[in-house]
Amino acid sequence: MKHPLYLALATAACAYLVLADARGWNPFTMPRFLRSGPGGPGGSGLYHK
Amino acid sequence: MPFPSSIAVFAVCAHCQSMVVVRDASVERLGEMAALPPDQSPLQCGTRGVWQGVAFELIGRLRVEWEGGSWTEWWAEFADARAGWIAETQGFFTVSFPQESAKPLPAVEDLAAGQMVRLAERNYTVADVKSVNCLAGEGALPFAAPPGLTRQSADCLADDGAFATLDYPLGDPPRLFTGAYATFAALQFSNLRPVPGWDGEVAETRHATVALNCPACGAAVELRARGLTMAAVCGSCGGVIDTANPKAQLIQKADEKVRHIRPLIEIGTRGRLFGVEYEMIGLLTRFDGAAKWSEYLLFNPWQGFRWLVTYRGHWSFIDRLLEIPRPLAGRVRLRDGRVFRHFAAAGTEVVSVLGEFFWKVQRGERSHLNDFVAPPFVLSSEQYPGLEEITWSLGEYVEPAVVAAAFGLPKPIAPTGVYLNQPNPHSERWRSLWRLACAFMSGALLLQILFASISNERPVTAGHYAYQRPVEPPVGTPAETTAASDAARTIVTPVFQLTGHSQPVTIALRAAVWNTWLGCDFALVNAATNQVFPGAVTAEFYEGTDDGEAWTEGAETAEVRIPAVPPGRYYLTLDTEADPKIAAMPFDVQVRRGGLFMSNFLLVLAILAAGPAWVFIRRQMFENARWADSDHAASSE
Repeated sequence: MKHPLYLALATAACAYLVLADARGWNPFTMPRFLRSGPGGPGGSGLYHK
Repeated sequence: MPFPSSIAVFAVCAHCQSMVVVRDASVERLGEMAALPPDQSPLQCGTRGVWQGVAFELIGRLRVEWEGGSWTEWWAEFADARAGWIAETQGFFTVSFPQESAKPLPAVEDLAAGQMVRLAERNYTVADVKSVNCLAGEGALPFAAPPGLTRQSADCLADDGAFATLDYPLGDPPRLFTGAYATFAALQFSNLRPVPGWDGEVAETRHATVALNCPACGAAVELRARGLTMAAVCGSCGGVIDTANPKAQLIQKADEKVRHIRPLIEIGTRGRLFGVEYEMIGLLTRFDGAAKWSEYLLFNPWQGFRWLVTYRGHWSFIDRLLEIPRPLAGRVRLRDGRVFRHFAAAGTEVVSVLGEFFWKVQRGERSHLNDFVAPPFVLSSEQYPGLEEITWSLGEYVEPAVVAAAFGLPKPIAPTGVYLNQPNPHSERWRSLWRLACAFMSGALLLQILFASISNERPVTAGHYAYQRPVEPPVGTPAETTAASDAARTIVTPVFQLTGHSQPVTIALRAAVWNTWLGCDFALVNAATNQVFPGAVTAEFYEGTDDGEAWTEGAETAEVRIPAVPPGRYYLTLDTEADPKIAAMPFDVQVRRGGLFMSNFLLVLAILAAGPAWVFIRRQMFENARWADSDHAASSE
């Protein structure tokens, strides 16, 4: 088999795309800031496109 | 003596060497034919073969010489009642037949190598023009050919591989012969002569050589391709001897430096390359003013001569090209469609010689070389000053380990640098990896299209709100009072339901801003778990003119998308701020569910392209290194 490393990496990348599209993930807006209880305004600007 | 052929007019008696010629109805004796010099050819009178489906038999031969060498012309009778010539030189053959020409043939004085000429309704390129001399003959021939008979001759090649010879006998009108090049295998020879030193039938004389004495120092000089080589170098004194002439005269004086030549492949070493056994018979070194390289001459009685050229540990296996490539702009093309790009032109000089050669080589011999490359192949044209001949050769890169294994070399010298026809090791990797990457990228695109079609963004809730600039508290107001006032300005939306599985949520803000801004710090809060997704969104729009040119920036709408929000009941808290110029302004907030992040797809594309991109860069670096040594160093493949 030619390029086994590339095959593994590309398969993993496509698997990631399937999961990310199915779950609505996006690594560029991670990490999420979780807080317990309703808080006041706390915009970090991280969510801006 | 029975006359060997009904169509021959000249014959040599095999027993007494008498030359007889048929004149009118009588036979006349012309004298005695000179003895043919011994040679390594496997052909003999009586050898049969097949050419283009027609059987033939060799019935006579002529040994002819020219200024730079000699070759053998075999006269053959064909089964379809034709008679033609099969020329044997340097291991390749031409088959040609007399051809009537409706138009007068060009005078020999009007011909020059490289010139286009039209013969028998076909275009040819003149390959060489030379004066040839009959050395000796045997068997039956179509004309009287006593030794010393001289004539002019011009060989011509057509683009399609057709071959023509213009023959200019003294006192007779010129004759045209047309035909084609042929290989030993293509002529399907049988009834061959065993070759001493090579053939299994005469295995006891394997490696047999013929020696002559050096006229300069008297040392024995072995000949390994007798009858085919024209010059041999005395390994003792370095004198170059004319081996075409039985007198074996010195054609270049002795050179002591010959003793210091240390060939990588010793003279007389045999090795099997590409399925054929070759013997190394000569070595010459050339210099082009910048680089010096070595050329090893290989010989096989059935295949003829080949070259192994080596430079800085790289090797190429070179064969004579039996066609004239078609010139293109900066390139040449072979009949089989292969295109070669011009690499370099250089004047070269032979700086040392050892062994024997099929032309009268001398130290100091100059030639003009043009190299064209299509790795792993190299095409070279060689032109010698004062000689009306352009020689083309085709070479292929050979791995040093292959040469070392073939000739039993101790350890191959590690190649340095990039050689002109060295295969790019990254090219094949690039091609296969790029194909694989294209397949994966197409798959990723299909996945993205599939998910886009089933993950449509849909509105969940929307609200219309108003911003009101708060009144600044008087100086000295307690901090607790200020905080309570801020909390009172926070807008909390009604609870709404996010359904389905984990999906992105988009918060969109719309306000009629013009050269101002309005922003919201928001928090998407799960009413059941109090999980918070905070963020900020700002609508801003500016326009104006700059140096008379109108410009705009921003928009009245802005949105942010929160990834992977689980289903549940949610509400939004909004804390609004605005440009100090704004005292009050209505705005809309919309919540949408679903959709895809394009950045995921772009990330996967980048990962898929990274590997091929790296190999592509390495491939280009290799090509840049290759072309850095060329006449076209600024460009690359």
